[in-house]
Amino acid sequence: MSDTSPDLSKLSGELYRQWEKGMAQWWDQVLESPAFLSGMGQSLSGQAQARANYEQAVDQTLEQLHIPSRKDFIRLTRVATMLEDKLLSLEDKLLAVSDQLAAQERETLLARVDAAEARIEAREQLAALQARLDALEGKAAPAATEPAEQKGRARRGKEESA
Amino acid sequence: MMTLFDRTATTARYLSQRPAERLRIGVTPHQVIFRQNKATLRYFAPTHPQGQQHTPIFVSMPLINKWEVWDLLPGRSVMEDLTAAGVPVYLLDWGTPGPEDQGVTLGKLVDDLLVRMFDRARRHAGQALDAVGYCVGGTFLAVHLSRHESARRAAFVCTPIDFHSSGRLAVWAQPSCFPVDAAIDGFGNYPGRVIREAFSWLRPEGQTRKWVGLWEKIEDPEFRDLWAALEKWNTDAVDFPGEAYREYVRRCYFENTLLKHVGDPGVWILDGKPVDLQNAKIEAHSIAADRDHIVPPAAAHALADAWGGAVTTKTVKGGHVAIAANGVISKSLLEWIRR
Repeated sequence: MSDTSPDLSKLSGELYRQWEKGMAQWWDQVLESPAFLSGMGQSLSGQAQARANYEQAVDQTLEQLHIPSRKDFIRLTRVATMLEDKLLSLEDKLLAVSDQLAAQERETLLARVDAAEARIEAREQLAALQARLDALEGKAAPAATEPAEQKGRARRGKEESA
Repeated sequence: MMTLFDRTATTARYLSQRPAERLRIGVTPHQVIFRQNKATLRYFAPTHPQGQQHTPIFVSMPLINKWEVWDLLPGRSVMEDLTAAGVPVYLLDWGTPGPEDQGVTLGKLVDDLLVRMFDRARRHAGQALDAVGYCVGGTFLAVHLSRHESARRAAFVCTPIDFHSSGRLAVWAQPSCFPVDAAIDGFGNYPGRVIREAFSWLRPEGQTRKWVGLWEKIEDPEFRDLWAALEKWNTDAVDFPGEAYREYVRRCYFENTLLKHVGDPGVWILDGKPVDLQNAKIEAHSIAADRDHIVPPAAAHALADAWGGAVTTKTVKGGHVAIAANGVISKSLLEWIRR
């Protein structure tokens, strides 16, 4: 029994594949035929119309019974969705403003850093100028005292001779 | 080796346990950092030992299914692979719209919701992001990126751009046989169950193959788990907001505007602003799967003809969903991220 079973499986597999091949060819002809396409379209329209009629009938019955209908719930959920949309639009605007603020903050920070750097640079330049001035004054001081002493000696000499 | 009878009995016993209902998918740890209406922004922190290794990515998932297809099971998860490689991921889960959302337009999704989601993700990350879109989530991302400078660069995974090359879907989604207006007027939102049925009828033989595949590999617990995870994800379809779907089908499937009217900004005006992918200047990468019957490579790689910036393309082996489960998307995305 067990010896014949694998052969049976193999045979059934082969039979299936032959059948599948034949069916595929047949389906190819059927599924693209004008009759099938037209029937498919009509069936879809019919189903859609039936669905619409059914929903309309249910809604009318519920309305007559003063029970909220499907339409009412749809209207409510639409309003909720619109509210969510408005909230999300507000959130978008807030995020955009917060982006702008962050960008401005960054710019302000950069400007302050630039200003601080400029001040440091100016201070360094000033210090350098001061140092140069001090150096110049240091050189100028002995030179300025020598001629004054010479003038003083000359004046005293003139007074003595007179 | 199991006998034919044993195999059938084991499969029946397994299915009777309702494995898809018991399994949890989308379990990679993450936090919700922002919500708008039904949409949620989920943050997956990097789990690499040295923390963040790459630029954070923003992922736009499709609206027609749940996001968990990128996080099916441990070891079968794009999210897990990306975060393990040190990529912070911000995932946009569009959520499940209710009847109150049938008036949500494509403009609202592209110019309001996506803008805000990108903004919050960027603020959270503290740096610029790369963007990734999957399937129709990628199409919406492409339109968004052509109108807003939200990302440094973008990758589009199985993203339809040339809708007239979308195989059988393109045949079905023609104005003559797809009454989109009647459907939206009647249903409100386009029903997820109709989308799911349409996808399963794209390749009917795939439906029987699914069961035969389980029967053949019923002894393999890893395969069984993956089968159940995909089944769970597949049955959990999501409605598409009505007005957004109307415009999406008209502009993309009926008129193929994204590709046919490249550089012709007067054709599709969305919220007072023309839609033209030529306006996108960032670099883009298109990843397509060679056996994708929903978005064939030709439909995805048409991005190269429509996009304004530089485009590179890559075709990988696999199907539209399989590449999410077998690690191919993770590998391709990580290659792109590491460039």
